[in-house]
Amino acid sequence: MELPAPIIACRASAGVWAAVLRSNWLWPLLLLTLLPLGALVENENCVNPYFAHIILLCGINITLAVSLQLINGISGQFSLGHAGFMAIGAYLGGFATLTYSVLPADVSGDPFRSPGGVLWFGLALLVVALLAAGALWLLFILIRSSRRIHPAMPPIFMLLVILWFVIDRAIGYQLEHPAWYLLWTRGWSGLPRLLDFVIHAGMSPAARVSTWLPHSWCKPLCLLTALLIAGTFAGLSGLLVGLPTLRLRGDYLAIATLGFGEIIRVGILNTEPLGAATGLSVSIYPNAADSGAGLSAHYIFPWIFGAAVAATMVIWRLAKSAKGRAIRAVRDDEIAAAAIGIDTTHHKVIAFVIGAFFAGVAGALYAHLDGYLNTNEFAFTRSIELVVIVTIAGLGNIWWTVAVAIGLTWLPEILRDPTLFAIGKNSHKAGLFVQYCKQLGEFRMVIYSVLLIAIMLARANWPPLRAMCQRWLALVRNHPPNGAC
Amino acid sequence: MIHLFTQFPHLAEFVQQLINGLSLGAIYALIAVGYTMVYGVLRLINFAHGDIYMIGAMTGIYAMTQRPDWSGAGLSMVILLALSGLVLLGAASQRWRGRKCEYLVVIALLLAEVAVLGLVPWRHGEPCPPSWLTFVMVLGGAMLASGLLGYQIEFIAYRPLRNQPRINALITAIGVSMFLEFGGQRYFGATPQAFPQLIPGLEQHPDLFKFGPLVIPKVDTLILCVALLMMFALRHIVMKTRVGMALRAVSHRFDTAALMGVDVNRIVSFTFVLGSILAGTGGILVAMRSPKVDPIMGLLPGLKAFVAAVLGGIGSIPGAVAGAFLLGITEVMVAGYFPHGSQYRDGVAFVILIGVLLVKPSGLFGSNASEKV
Repeated sequence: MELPAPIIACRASAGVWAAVLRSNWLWPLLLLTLLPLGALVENENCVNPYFAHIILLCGINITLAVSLQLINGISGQFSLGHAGFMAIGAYLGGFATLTYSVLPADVSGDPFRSPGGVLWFGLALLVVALLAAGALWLLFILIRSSRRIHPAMPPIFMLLVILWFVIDRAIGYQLEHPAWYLLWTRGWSGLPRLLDFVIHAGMSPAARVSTWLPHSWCKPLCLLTALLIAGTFAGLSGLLVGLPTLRLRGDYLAIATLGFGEIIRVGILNTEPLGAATGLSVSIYPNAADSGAGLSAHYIFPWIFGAAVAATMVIWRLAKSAKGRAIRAVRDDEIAAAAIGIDTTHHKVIAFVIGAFFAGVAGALYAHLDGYLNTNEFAFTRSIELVVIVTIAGLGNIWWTVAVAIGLTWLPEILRDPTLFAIGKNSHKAGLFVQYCKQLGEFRMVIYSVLLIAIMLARANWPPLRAMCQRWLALVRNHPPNGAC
Repeated sequence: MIHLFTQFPHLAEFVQQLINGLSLGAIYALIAVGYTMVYGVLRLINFAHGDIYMIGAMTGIYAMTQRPDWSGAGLSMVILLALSGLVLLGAASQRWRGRKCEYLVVIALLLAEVAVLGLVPWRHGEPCPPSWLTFVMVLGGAMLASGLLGYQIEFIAYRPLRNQPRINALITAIGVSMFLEFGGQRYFGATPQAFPQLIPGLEQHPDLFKFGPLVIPKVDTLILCVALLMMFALRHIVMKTRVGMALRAVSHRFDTAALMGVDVNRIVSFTFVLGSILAGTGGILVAMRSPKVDPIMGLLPGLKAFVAAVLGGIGSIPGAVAGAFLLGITEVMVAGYFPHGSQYRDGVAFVILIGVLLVKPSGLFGSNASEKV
């Protein structure tokens, strides 16, 4: 019996990279074609800025939808909290470049000069987050294992811990103490101060290091570091959420992830450094006329579509690999998969973390595209949009996901103005029909929801619907359908 | 009593918060029961449930508005529509059993709704003068309207997907929810609207009792009374009637109940109607408590009521009620007592949710169902 190709590739250790290159030679070419396309998008004679913005949103939605497809479709874990991971990525990425990519000595205050500062921010955050995660992990273990003492202990213990956290937070608002003292005497109210301390300790050396870099490297390096930080932290939070909640099944998991997404949103809404309710303005060029705008479409186009291609490629290859087969086995029947020796939790968490990573990257790109972040953009409806894309595309189908993501990004815009692609609509000769179409735009979300229901119903009853269409077609063509009356 | 509360103002404040929490919990309970019943029968999270609650409140405004050319027509139209729908439904379920007939009923209902909403348009006008009779009639009209809406939603959006993977029905549920929200924004307008006074003399004398600093408002008492009345009626229907027995059978084992001769479609419709009636009542009650009504008012209470249902053990009706009261009280206490608590108010429900799911996923009253291979 011949083994399937990927397993052979994995076993022949010398030929792994050759095999990877052989099967993926098309992708780098595709990436190279993005650069001239970016110039095309920037050119206002060719594509107007509104269209360019939608095209860029398409790229972000592809990344998000494909990463959700990995979680929902390929590993079969129904997540409703994807917007939460996106929010983490967006806020961290935006905050990093906004605050720490400016050289302190630079009078003009131009950002994107100090990749070292961005990197140091990421490292400091990582250290403090790992500290906090370790403490949480210990607490979790303690709560879980207290069941051995008495079955009622875990809830009681957990209530106590929550109470302690809240009181701690309340006192943390009032006390003025050094970071180490607060960290020692109280739990997590000291963590932000410790973070501040670590960041300030290393920021000036990091900035000095980045002055050694060639000038033209600084901007891409800043962006790349911000994206990696965003992805890493979204992935880490995916781990944090996934490890405990992935034991749940189906609807319970959906609700737990939904709750997580909402907690993230409420948390950001109440964090002052992240802009709280007024939103975080990632004003890239504080001195420019349009200070609220993000990076130019021309510059960010290859980044966004590069991320989309990378996400698609990584997830597609992962789904086809040995690991992907194990993940799909867990999706199809968890008990059977466990019985043949697959570590189910491990594979579910891997899928969750990779999906969250790309969601974070997409979020950071979104932050740099729009230049303004508000928590309303990462509400429950955002996750729902993504789940809709994934479900309409069909669970586990990556290529359809890309197509549907593009289609559903354009759909509301087309519904907003059905004459979007019509030529000469703004001329005085535009007829009554065009006027009607423009009025239809007011009902776009109503039409969108009706279309959504109709698509789902049509998908469910596709064979009888097709038979009906064929019968009608046959009637139109005036010859009887085969066999039927 | 008065002496006690003047002596200990902190105690009075605590009791005041408790009363607030109880009335908030009663409203959550009315919504959560619908969630838990639908989940028990179909294993479906009915995301449109919160919007049915919104429709209940909107029906109240629609019915109470006096129009210059159609004076008092709104209320009679709503009740007429609902009654004709009920007659049609009753006829469909008793006399002419069969699929085709139900299609006709649903189409007739949709046409009638479009006709009524078109003929008696939403227009800002003076509300009717408050009286106990209008309160009862508006409550009844909202219950009937939301019950019929629940029936139609189940028939159009969920029944064709009964044998499909559950996520598909979840997506149509989201679609229905979006339709009601955005359609409501088009029809009712996106800005919050004032809910008219229903009960005479409530604005002049809002307090039922006054014990020194402690005030027991009439509205909260009314909410609690109506909610408890509905809960007892529900308990009677579910535990003491034939249709309730069938409902319990279907929620226990769907297929076996069908084999035992239960008309499953009818029972599922009945469940939706029952849950929607409760949600519509909740809509009217919450609009009386905080008289600002807008088309997306159902989103957050809907999610929180679902959290309450999970907290109590989803599928269990007493669990949903207990969970809802617990959630309402916790939310009010957090908002009242913790520093910056009112900002975290909306996050509390989800923190509780994740805590419950981690420690006891089956909820307070839920049974532990082990999976069979």
